[in-house]
Amino acid sequence: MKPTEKIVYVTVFIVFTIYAALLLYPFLFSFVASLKENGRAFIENSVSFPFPMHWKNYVRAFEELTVAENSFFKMIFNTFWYAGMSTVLGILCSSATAYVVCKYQFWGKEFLYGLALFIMIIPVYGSLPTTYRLLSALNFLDSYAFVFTATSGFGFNFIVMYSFFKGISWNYAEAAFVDGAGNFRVFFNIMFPMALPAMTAIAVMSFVGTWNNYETPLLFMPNLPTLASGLWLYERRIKYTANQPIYFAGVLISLIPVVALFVGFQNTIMENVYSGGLKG
Amino acid sequence: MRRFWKMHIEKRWGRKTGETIVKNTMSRKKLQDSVFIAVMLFVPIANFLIFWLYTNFNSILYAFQTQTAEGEINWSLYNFKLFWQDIVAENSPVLLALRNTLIFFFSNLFITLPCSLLLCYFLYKKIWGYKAFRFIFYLPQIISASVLVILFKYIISAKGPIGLITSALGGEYIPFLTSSKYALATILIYSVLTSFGGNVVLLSGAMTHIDESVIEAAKIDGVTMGKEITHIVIPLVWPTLSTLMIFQFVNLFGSTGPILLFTQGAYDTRTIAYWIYEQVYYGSSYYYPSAIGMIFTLIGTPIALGMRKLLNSFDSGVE
Repeated sequence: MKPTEKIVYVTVFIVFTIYAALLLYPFLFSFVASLKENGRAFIENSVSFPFPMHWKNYVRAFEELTVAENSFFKMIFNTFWYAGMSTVLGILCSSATAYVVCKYQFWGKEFLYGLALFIMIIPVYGSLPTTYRLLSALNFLDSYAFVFTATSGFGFNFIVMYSFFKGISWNYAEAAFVDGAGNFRVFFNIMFPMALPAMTAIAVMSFVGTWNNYETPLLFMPNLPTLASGLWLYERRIKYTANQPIYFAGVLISLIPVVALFVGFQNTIMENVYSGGLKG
Repeated sequence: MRRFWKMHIEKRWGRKTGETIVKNTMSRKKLQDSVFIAVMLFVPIANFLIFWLYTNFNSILYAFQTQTAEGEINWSLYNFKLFWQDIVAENSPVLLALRNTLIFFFSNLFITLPCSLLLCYFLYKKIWGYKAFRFIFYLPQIISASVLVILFKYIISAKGPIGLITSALGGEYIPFLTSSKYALATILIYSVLTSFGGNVVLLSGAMTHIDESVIEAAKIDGVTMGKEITHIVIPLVWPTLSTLMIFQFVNLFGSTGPILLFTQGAYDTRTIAYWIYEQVYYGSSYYYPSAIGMIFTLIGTPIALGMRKLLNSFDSGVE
């Protein structure tokens, strides 16, 4: 390595370290705050390290964090339902669409591929009012059935799965057909397992994205809050009271599933999500 | 495929019987294929028709409708007239929202994206601790903005670390989120700081596909780091980079920061996307936002398509 390059690397390393510290500090702050005692002491000084540490705040978070008559457990369930079902339905539908459009010859095949690209590159603003009214008419507002809106077959997941299926040889399917397997069997028993790494990668990203989405649950499911929308609503309510430590404990608990998921799957994600461009 | 089956069956049952069996089997297979295709596409197409086509078509109708206090629907160009009046009004709220939206858009395009590219380059070159950095930089993407914004708000509050440091230094506390002078800039800084990692997955994925021998050969030829980035890495990841840029243009008028979480639009921080959300959230109006959405869709579509064509044309010389 040339000396000038070494200087660049050292400088970048320092910048990276400062930036990483900036990103990590809120969690340290949150952790310290979650161990404090409720009351004026917190409002007076939220920064200093607490002594003694109130670990029971984590238990109290489960007991006391309630939003719109939803306990903390209910919010956790709502979040798992919303993020989990949206992800499963979304990935299944986009994989099914991508597989059929990629591997089968039928009338409208080109149209569907064009449609998938069209939806992605045409900016549509302002359909929120009609969507809201439609969901209200369908009784999907404040309902667990809201997840059915995630059954879209197009979008980014379609593009990723389409390019993935394009890379899989059709010989596997032909051999299975000769052996008497049907279309569904080929899809679920042969193609599905092969597509699993790519599907896992986009599933984790989709799950994390939905888990963190606060605007959609806030608008469409105000009485079934998820952790993302519920914690925000709770924080607004307690702004001037002294329950912040419990709130911060709740915040840290809400991070555990997504952080664990990302730590477990980060290599799968990095290796499998790759977009080679939007051409059509 | 057909030939393979034919040979296989003819070998077993003789030519004539084979022909009939193949014909019957193929037509049965065709029927099975059609059923399979229909079953696989039924839900996604129904979803598209209901939640995309119907809602967008209805949005166009809404743009030309108004509702009287008695609930009666009238058809007119009133929403478009109102839009024009809002544009020419003094301290126009629409122009302010448009200005803020463009600030977020340009910061995404000219600050976030280039910085993300450089960040990914050094992660790709395996800078010390790159695995830990990659994880930490991606953290804002895996943690809900509703949580991160509140932590950020506590940190910059008068009783938080920034406030305490300011008062310890004898300075006057800056009202970061409660003054028109600072509120938008504060949200912008937060958005930029937390969005570098957003492109890490796609750009890192693209960089790992670069053939190592190209970089090695360039190193032997004495290519500098700057040239390696501009002449090798950028052209090789161009399909991904241009896709990210196209997405920025597709979402041009949807560019926003987490306005709801920070100020709920107060202190001159409204963007177009937030304004539309706010109208629906507080149930104030459904028709006027649809008209505004339609106007920006009409302006945004040629821009998005033109930029896509332009950015993809740079791709032709890249191999």
